[in-house]
Amino acid sequence: MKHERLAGWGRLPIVDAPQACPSTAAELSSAWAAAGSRISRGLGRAYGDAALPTAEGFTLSALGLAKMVSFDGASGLLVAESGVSLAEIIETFLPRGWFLPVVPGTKFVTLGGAVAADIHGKNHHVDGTFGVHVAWLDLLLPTGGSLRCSEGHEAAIFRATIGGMGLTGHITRVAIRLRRVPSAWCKVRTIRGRDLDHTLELLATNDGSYRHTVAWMDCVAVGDRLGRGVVMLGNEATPAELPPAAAAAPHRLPSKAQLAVPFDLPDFALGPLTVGAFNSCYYVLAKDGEKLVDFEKFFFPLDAIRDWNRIYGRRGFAQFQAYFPDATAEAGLRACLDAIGRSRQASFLAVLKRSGPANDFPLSFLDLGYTLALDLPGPAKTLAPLMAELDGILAAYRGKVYFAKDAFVNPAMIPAMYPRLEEFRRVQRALDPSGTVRSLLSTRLKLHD
Amino acid sequence: MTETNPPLQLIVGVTSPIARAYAVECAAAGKPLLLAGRNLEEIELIAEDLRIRHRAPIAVERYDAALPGEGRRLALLLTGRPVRAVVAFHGIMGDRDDFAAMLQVNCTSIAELFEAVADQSVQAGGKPVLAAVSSVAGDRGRQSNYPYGASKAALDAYLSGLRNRLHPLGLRVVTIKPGFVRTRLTEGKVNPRSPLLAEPAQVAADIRRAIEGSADVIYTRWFWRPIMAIIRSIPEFVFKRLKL
Repeated sequence: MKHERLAGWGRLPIVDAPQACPSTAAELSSAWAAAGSRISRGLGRAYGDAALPTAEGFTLSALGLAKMVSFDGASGLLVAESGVSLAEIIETFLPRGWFLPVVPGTKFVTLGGAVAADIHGKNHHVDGTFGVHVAWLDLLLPTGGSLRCSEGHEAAIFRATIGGMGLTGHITRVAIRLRRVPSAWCKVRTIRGRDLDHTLELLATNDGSYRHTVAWMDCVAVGDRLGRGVVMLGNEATPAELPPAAAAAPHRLPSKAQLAVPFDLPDFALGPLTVGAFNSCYYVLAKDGEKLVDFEKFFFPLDAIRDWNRIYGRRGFAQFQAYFPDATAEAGLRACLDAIGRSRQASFLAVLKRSGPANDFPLSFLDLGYTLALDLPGPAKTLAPLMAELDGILAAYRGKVYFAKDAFVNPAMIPAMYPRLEEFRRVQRALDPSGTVRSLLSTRLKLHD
Repeated sequence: MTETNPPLQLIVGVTSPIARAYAVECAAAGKPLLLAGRNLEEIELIAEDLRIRHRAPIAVERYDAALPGEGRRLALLLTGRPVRAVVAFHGIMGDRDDFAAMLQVNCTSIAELFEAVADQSVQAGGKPVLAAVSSVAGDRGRQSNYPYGASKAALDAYLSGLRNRLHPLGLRVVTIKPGFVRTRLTEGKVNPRSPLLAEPAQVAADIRRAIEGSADVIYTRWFWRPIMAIIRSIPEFVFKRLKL
């Protein structure tokens, strides 16, 4: 096995570890049977340590097995190997009128990763998480042997695997239901929220009439302006709503050049001054109104800049994503935004989203309420005090963190955040009695015991 | 206007990463393909993936280069069909004990296939491109790898002669000489960060350009041509003392 420098998208932490990259089923079984603890890895878009191995362990890359296996053009059911990326699925099927039921903020994640982190998107309040659209999946079990599971067969294993951060085994195949879309465009209405109350109210009142909703938050603003944001409300456009040029091929995305960050930017590039200026400009320049935006720009604005994580330079960054239930959301979010604003460590990427009811998967993240996500530039040392303060806020307001983004939370808080953790552990322990499947994240957060 | 019977490409040894990348290039252009190789189950998975993504017409066939007679059988499957190209990607790398097997797979099997296809095409008036993946290792035998290098040198000499024979008849023969490519063969042998290490997709794009263009012998990536020119020019009395 080759040793590689591996990190999450935030590049905090970075480890040197062996990685196997099997490209056939036979190679996969033998790689999986190797000695040492193992964890599956896809495109490495989890921000923290979810796809990093423990000290004596290795990662198993899913990228060598990335074939589409079957597609039913009537029902939209796609079966594919877990290394296939959402980008490839969109590239293949959007021109034919199909789209993924749920997409996160980047299309550069694998199917396996999307299931393991039970990802959510701007339509969570309508369509739920990625996992609820999975018909079945194939799992290479920790003890060897494989299992096809679904809601109708081995449901406990199926549910523990969705959102299970790869701890129930290596996901080899996923059957996902694609959804027909009228075009590759969204009709997007933009409204500015003056302060936190107003922004939350805009999200809550428009939930019923828009499939895709999100608010970009100015997390530098303090005082009266705390929680001001730009609320974006989108519905998929019908061909009749498109300008003639686009209506001729409604599912074709306009092609555009991809930019890249060619090297790590110096640390001062993203200081309090530049970030503050960006946030103010973004808010002031946003216009209330409605316009057509293509899917690429609407769902994946940052994918236009390859390797954008390099703007944070060598220090890396952490992503902080918190969920608060309705009852405590307003106070919890206010406390978070206030702490982040005072720390002057905020970044220009903060999004707030109203979330819908929980699903049946024990480790899935969201429930009815709100979720806030933002980047916090590293290094780890300078982040620690702010992270500790945020932990206190999460504890006080019944907040929880998202495993795919976390690198810092106090592990003692996890059982309270995830009340169904014990149920997950029972399934996990039965599948992996000798504890061979583990990641830095699962060890750090004591997800096993 | 769409062609009613568009010309076919036969890709042999399709489970290799370079061949797969090449098949993706062809399928993305909607060209009909016949994929051949030893592991039919794996090839069928590759074919179905290409059919789903590119809706290209793709057939599969079992082919074992270790067995004499397989090349002629494969060539017979092409009778009556216009053939755009036959591209042989298969090869094995071993040491001194495997010399006979390497010669069979890396050279003799390709000769058998190409002779049969060439004879058929000349009779039927077709003009397919015959292309085979050789290696820079065939340019000069080195102590670390010479049994493999010798089998590739045999292939080079064969292709050169075949090209000479077929040129007046209007058939092209292309020799493809990859250097280091990120595959199983180089894993653990070449530093993964080496600037000389090419991605299979880059090599596949070079191969497509060579087949569609007019090249006889290509090095891929291109910088291997000057590197190998230098290595070939070292006098033998010096070369024999080198640790290569």
